[in-house]
Amino acid sequence: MIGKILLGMTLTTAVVLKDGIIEVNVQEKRDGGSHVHLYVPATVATVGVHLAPEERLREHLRHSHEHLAIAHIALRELEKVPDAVLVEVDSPREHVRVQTLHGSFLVDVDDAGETVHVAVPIRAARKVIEDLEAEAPAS
Amino acid sequence: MPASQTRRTVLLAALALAATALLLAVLLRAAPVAHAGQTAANPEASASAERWLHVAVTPKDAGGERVRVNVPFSLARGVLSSIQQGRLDHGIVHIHNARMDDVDVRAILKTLKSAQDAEYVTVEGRDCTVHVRKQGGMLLIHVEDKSGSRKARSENPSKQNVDVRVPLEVADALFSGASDELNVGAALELLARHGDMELVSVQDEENTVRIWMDTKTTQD
Repeated sequence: MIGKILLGMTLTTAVVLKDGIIEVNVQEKRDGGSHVHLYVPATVATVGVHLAPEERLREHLRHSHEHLAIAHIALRELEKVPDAVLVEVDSPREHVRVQTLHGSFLVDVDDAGETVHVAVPIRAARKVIEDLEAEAPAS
Repeated sequence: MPASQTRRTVLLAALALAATALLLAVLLRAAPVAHAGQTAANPEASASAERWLHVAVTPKDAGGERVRVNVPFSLARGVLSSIQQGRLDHGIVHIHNARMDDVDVRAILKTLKSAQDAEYVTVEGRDCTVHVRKQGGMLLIHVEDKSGSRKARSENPSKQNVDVRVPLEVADALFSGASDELNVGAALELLARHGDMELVSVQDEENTVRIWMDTKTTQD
């Protein structure tokens, strides 16, 4: 039993270390508003591409070659450059920040209705894009 | 199984679960996950040789929208060269006619390249003043839109000053392709080889817009 637990621990650690963590945090500001805070191992996303129904995935990707290529290049270049705030918009109504930090691509939005924080490991996102490119049929 | 052994197994299992939770908590902090309060400013990054293109829109009114954009040249070039949509084709913008208002930009650039530093174009109109100058390998364009002062009685005057500084070889690269295209990719490639410089400055009644390049990742 202890062996199984230790094996589970090791696998969990390996999964988390392999591709990092995707974080999604959405907090509605209205009274009684919902709060969703998720930590998902990015490996789930990379594996998910292979688990998705092949036909439906191919249908969705049929005309996405160019967009996938752009995303792939953008992520590849973002991996190489140091951490930076890429876009920042400040006004009395909202605050938006898009940045890279410690290998993750982060989006933060704070407006009158909600605060949103999304963090995606760039390497894992690039892997997903690469897998999708491989799955996409020629258009 | 004796009760003592069961208790021991349960205790060990609980310890193992606690250890897993602790490990995950540590990993969640150490893994590439960011938190809203963190900032990305990293002064060490400025030592990078990577050149960055910066855009800053600063409102004159406190209630306006302040915009900051910082893009590494490699990203801009890479993305630009991969887009094939509409008039943009892998870094080349197709235009229907390179002659603008009967001004042949290519011919002017060709002449300017071999000419000495001087102010070559001065247009002083009723609403607008334009100066085009060559200075130290740079093409300097200054446009002053005076229509605002003429429309001063209107509710929204539109006075505007525009300054553009472009290395001549970059402008040359921009028009290096066929007559109906602008080679933005080649222009960016050459621009990235230049030192820190302000490229565009626009000032109007509402905002100040600056576009410049340097090796810093931030606008500080």
